[in-house]
Amino acid sequence: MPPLPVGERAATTLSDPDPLLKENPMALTNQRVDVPVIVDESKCLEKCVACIEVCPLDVLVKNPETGKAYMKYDECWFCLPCEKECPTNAITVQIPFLLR
Amino acid sequence: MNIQYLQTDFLVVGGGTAGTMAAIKAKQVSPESDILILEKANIRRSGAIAMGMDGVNTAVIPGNSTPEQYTREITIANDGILNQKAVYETGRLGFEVIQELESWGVKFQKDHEGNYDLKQVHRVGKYVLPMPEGKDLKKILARQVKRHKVRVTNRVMATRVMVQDGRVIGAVGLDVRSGDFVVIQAKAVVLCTGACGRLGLPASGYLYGTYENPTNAGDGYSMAYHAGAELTNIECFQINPLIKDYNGPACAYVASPFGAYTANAEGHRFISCDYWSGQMMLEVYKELNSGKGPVHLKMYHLDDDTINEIETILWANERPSRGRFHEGRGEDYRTHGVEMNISEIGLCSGHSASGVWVNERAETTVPGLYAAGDMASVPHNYMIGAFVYGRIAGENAMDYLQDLEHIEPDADFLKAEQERIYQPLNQANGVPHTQVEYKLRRLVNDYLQPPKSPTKMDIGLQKFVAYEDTLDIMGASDPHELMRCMEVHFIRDCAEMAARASLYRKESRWGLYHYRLDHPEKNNDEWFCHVNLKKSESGHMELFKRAVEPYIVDVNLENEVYDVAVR
Repeated sequence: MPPLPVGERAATTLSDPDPLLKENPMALTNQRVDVPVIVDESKCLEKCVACIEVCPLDVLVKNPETGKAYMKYDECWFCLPCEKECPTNAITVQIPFLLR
Repeated sequence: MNIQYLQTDFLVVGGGTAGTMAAIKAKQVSPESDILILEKANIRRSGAIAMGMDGVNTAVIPGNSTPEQYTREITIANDGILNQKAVYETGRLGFEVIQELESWGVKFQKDHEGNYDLKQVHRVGKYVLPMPEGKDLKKILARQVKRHKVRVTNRVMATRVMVQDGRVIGAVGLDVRSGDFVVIQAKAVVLCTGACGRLGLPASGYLYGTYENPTNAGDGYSMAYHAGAELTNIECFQINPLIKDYNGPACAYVASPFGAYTANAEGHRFISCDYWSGQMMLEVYKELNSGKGPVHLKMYHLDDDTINEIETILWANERPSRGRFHEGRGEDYRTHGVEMNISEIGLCSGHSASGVWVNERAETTVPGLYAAGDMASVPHNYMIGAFVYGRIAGENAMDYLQDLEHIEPDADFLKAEQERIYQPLNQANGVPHTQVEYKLRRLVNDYLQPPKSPTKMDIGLQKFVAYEDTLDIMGASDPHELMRCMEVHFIRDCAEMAARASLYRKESRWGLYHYRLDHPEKNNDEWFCHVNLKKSESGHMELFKRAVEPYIVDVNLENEVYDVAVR
């Protein structure tokens, strides 16, 4: 999948389909949000977990299909270790939209 | 769900400033002992100084100041309510900490003669020592932890301290990735889990847009409470003057020694001192409500070279994303003041005085349980205080546990705690933690943000108590969400403590931190004391007065009132 332009990546669209939604589709909704951590998938290395390991809030994971990192949980302190420790400069941290 | 059993001599809960130092010092005094750091994130980048720190704020350096002078300064700034012996230790041992950090490669600013280049930010003395290259402080500490052969378990969040036979016997927690239930037996435990930084809701509405590292959800306050330990001065909230919306420091501690200052909309000074205190916050509150707001950190009168230097420090340390925040708004220190706002409330002794009660030996009131750093009650302790108290806790704990044996944890306790932690998984379509937390913290703003009104706080208290039932309807679908659910439990406990302590102290003290509209004056006759609380035998929150320990440094509080208003 080509990287989405900044600001159009939705955290929830990449997550695994929730089995609960099938059971009780009215209970939860998938809400599209603008997330602060943007990963350039053309630079992200499949075997590297540097950003995932340093994130204090543990919000980054690998997409099992592509091996690329993405922000799964919109819980960011915009503190920058992920960006600083990425060996290929694949990560850009934006100030969260609500604060920007 | 798997269960992991671990055993160690000394368990350090939280691998930030205080925790890494506690573990290192414990190893230094007892190299044969097993020391384990339990960290919910990764110690390489965790805690309040995850991205380093731009300076030391409480450095007592021989030749510049003395522990007596420092104790006097903090006594006055904290309106007299403190254990002076505990504050004195920060002054006495801080220099050794700085020297040791230096030997590990941490750089502190020196003048051209090689002397420490101390700056005045406090009202009287010079205690601020810049460290413009402090961005990798945490990496340096993590390296020392490894060198000292301390064991580290990352990504496990402690949820409860275990107490049996009148002493601490370990802790339990959750592996936030695998979802394992983790049981750790230990002969002594130190809690170093930082502030309760997710108590009030930031004005931006973003749950994690906090001043503190949002991993610090009041874990230690809650765990100490449930372990039966006393907490103190919880009504002395942390409220900071922060960059509006960004909610981080502007930062006057860095910029004021260069000539920057806090100004009103007209560009005039209204406070004489930029050191954070409740009294200073009350002046900011008054100014914002006087029609002379907004207030801002003023730097646009400084020359270009000076501003370049300030930018270099502020955009590399502590909260390095400040630069891109300003840039995104097209704002420049050369032309714009940094608009400031009053933050939501939190609990943090590092900046104010609310914490788990500790004495000058870092002991809580539960045998074998120690506390250090932002969550322990030594007021205005900042980073150096966290290092000093990490050291004190580590050294004393090793002395304490020498002849102790492990105790087998109670099976009923473990079963009950397992049920509590994993309950949200049974109802994955329950209310998400995000919504439960948002509403709780919005209620904290509605009912506890000063100025405090008794009727409002009563309503808030009822809502926080009733929120126990709301916690039961939270749902989670993975271990990460379970971690957040447990954090909401911590936050709720802190909210209840904050309401009860604020209702109990029927006077005003510490400026805005405890400004009660129904008792607007300080009342030393009745309230020159700590307000402590603990969980009673019957499981209720019990509040009581604790006398202030006799001073070891003479301060005449009638004559020396902390006043920073410009009139």
